[in-house]
Amino acid sequence: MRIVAVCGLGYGTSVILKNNIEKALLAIDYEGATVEAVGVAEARQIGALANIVMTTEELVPILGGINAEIIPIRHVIDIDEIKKALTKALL
Amino acid sequence: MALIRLGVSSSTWQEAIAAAGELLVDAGHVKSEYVQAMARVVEELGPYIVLIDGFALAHARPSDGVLENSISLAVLDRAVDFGGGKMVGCVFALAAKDHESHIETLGRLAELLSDEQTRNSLLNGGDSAHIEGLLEGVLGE
Repeated sequence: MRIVAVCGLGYGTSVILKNNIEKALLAIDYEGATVEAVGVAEARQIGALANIVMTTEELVPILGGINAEIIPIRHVIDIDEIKKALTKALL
Repeated sequence: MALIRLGVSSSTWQEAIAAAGELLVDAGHVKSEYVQAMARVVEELGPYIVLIDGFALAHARPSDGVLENSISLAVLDRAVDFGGGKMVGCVFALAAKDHESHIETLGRLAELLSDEQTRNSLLNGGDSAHIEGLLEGVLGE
């Protein structure tokens, strides 16, 4: 399972999202997933290789066409929201 | 030393980002063009830098003029709309020299902001010593 966290540049928001995805995976006892943080420029290339792309709501339209499950996140700080989304997608 | 300004009066998100960015410029942690680069990110990609209601993490690329890893905080006296009704009262400005070096800092920031009580005390901007302590904790100082 390859999960990619996408934000505009791959430096700020996506790094926080990646951290929290990792925490959420631990919390739901899901093992064997890799998580990367990238910016929109790399997202098309790397996202195509991923199973799941998680990003903020605003960036979803930009990522249209990527052949992965795209999960919009409203608040990247909110681990509960991420946990729920991952539970739905993975379990 | 924590780079903090409380009671910042700004009427637009551009001014709010500039206030947080100028703290980095004044400290010599970024070149002045970095401040415009942070605003450009929001112009181009929207308010996705709003991490949770009330809090934005402004940043640009390392190549946009970062001189030192750093983070600053501007607490606004009144929240401004960062786009789409996303109201922000606290703007962090992040300067990262590369992809790896700031991961721990952001982890600590996320931890800090996940606590509602902490968020409220930041948004209220009352006790500067307390807020300074919080930001120093984020920086690992």
